[in-house]
Amino acid sequence: MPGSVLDPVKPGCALHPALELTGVSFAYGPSTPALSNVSLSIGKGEKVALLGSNGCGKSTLLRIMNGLATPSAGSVHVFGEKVNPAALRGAAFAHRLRRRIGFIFQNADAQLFSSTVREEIAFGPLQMNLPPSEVRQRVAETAGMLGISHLLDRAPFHLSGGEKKKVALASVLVVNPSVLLLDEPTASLDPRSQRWVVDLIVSLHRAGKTIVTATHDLDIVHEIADRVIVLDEDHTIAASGPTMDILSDLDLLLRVNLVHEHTHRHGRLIHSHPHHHSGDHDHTHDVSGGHSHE
Amino acid sequence: MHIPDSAISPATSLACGAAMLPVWTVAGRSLRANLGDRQAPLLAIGAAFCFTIMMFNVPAPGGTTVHPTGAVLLAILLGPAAAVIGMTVALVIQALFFGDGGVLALGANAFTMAFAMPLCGYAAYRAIAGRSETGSARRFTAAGAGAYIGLNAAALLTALFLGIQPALFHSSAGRPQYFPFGLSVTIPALMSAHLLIAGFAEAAVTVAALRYVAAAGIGIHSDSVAETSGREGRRHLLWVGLAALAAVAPLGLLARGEAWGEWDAAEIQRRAGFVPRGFSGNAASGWHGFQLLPDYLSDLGAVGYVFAALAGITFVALAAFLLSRLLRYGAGRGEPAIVETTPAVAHDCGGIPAWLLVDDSTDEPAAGPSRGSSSTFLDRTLESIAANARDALAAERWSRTAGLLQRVDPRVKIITTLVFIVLSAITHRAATLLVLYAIALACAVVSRIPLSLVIRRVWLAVPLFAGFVALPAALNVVTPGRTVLVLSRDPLLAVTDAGAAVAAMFTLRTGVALTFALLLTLTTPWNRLLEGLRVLRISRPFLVVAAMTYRYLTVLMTAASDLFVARRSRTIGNSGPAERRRFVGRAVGALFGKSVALTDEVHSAMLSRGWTGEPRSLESRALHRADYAWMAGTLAIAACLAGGEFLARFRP
Repeated sequence: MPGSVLDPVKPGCALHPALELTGVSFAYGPSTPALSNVSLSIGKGEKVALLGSNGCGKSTLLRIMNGLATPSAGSVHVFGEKVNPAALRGAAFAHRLRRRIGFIFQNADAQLFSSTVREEIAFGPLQMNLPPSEVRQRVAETAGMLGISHLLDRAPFHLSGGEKKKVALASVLVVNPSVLLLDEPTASLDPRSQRWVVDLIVSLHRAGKTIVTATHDLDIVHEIADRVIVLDEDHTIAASGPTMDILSDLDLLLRVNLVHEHTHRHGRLIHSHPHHHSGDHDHTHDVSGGHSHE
Repeated sequence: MHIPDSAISPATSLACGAAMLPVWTVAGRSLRANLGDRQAPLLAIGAAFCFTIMMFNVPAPGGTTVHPTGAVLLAILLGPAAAVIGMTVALVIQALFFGDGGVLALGANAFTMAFAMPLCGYAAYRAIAGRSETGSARRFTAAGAGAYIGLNAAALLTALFLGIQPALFHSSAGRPQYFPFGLSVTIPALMSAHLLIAGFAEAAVTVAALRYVAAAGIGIHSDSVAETSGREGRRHLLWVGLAALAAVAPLGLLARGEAWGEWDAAEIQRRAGFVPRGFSGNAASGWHGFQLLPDYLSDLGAVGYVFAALAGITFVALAAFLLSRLLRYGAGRGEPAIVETTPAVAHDCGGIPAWLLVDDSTDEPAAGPSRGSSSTFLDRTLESIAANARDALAAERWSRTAGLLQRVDPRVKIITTLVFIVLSAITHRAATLLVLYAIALACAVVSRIPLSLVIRRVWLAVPLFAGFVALPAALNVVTPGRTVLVLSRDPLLAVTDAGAAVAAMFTLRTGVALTFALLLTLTTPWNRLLEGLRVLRISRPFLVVAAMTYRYLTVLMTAASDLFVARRSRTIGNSGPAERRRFVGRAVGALFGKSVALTDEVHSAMLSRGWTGEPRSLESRALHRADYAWMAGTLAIAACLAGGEFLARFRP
């Protein structure tokens, strides 16, 4: 990886956690709460997964961390700086926040709004007023790193799902954020692209990035996170702890509807079986065979 | 309702474009103030939404289908300023990338469809809706009436623009240079089709879409206006009304040159038979259009005529309003709700109702006369969407072929294309047009674009409009002259030499202009074409919106296509046209819901990457020597042709 692109931003605020949320609540209307009284802290260089079933508020939490949604109660600090609409109106603060935090949206069609891949990747650096010559260089290097140089003059709607995800990642990585928020990064990707995304997340973490991934894909959690924060269906935090502890707590996962009651663990494997009402339910697994995901 | 190049003189369109400049400025400012950095995604997706619903087919009274325009709907949903800009972007993309409506005629098309239609419709909507509550019957009625009035105001203006052409632009021999029919033909023809058919379809779709949006709880512009500003809103309304009247009045004055008494009512009726757009059908069924009006108003002159037509629209809208009220009370309460027939089932099989476990797929459908016709409008809509997608893909493919025009810088290509289109619009000589056409075909050959493609795409599209106009124009009843071919002796119906010349010029002009526009589209990737438009000093925010519109067009077209395919896969019985119109309306509403959600997402994605509201992009490449050479060469040819034209015109 070219160093110029992925050098971590100067570690100015080493004392503060990268992200700190205190008593955060959010609702999309009187009858649709999305988060209630959520407090969490994510340190610099951590690799965290937000785990929860559909509609538990994972995406909302990411949006709040990025200053895209304003909580109805509670406070948000990024590298020790308080984030609120008043602060975001200040150009310098907004610029700093956007530069530090990169957000990979789940819907690649929403994320890729420019007419070509080149313009898409150049959008962030241009908005941040980098000189054109440097923008060109960064675009070329980021595209090279992610293996999408041949796509630079293509229109986003001619790309495959996997290619779109790569372009989305490139468009965020090009400004070299120190925190990456990823919303369901492997959703609707084929197995090979999923593998590619997981590997990239791991190597970005090694390069010093703070990684926060919202997902309900239990198969990838042990790779993309050292710590897991579990959101309950009542929009509160159900648990937070080391990945292996959380993944082995079947009762917890069952309670927050992340697994089905017929789910099993075999070593580090979690999986479930079709639901049968008749007959006895027993089977065995050979960890070395039959399962490709470990 | 799109006016193609060659139907009106460039001067008319230029005047309209000049009139649009302040409108665009005011709309742009108001959006910037109200929406801030949100305006780019909102307008882009709004325009893509407009573009997409213009591909929908709505079953209209009389068994035909029409395309809704959605201009008034957009004004109600997003506000009049957003509708003005959104419709303009949609028209630009239609003209530049899909060959709908002319490039030079953009000014006139924008005036009718991006200004008059949304503003007149919105004004009527606000006037009728008053302070009624969101979701009230009065609101929906107001929306329906607004859509009806907006569409007809635009149709009236289109009829005016077309109808004043023969009076203003004719050769010394009196032959019309552009559109050959006067106001006494264009107004009855266009107005009857819109007052009787398209207006009702547009109103039905608008109301159904708003019902869906209200039921889904999506916030819309007109709600916020009604809540926040009473007096402010009324002043706004006044302004809109005055603007619309002011826009129409000078056109009436322009039209004074037209001799009203030239054709009496009986003659109009006879001539009307040759006019397309449902007029002949109406005449045959005993309705004779607006033929009473010219007679009745001939003393008052053109201005009176325009006001009379507006009064006519209002009168019909009022009648429709009363009728709908009457029908509402006659039918009990509102439209019949969808009856949920949930059978009481024994939940004995894991919660799956018993009827779901029985295979009854071979049962005959419950009575229904003609099964086939029910899905025609779906097929047509899907075909429209597919055709547009095909065209976009074809353009994308040919623009990547290694050819001469593909190598020329888009900025140079835009300028030279415009020069050739202007030349083909102002020339008086068939020879010049033929030379221009030969140049266009030669360009296609050296750009490795198959001639068959260029010829087919242009000449299959041209007859749709030009054929309707050119063929009647060739006849003795429109263009007197030496009889060449007699079609019928009593009444005398024949092709005249002068008529044939007018028809040929008109058709050729349309074809040549379209060919040049097509070549530009086929040889330039759309993003580079948009980038190149900067050379015309088009504002950068507008181009950013246009680029995003084109980008999200595919997303919304896919979504719309899915809606219609899903509907077709569930089409079992037959549904009446009213139900089909409601379906289209709901599809429009659903698409709007998707558009709003997409706008939010895109805006977030832009903000997240530091969007400041100021579009920036990498500066364009420098022009090469070859670009300059190409420019010089084409301009020299154009100058020669223009010189020849000049000499021919002014030599005794």
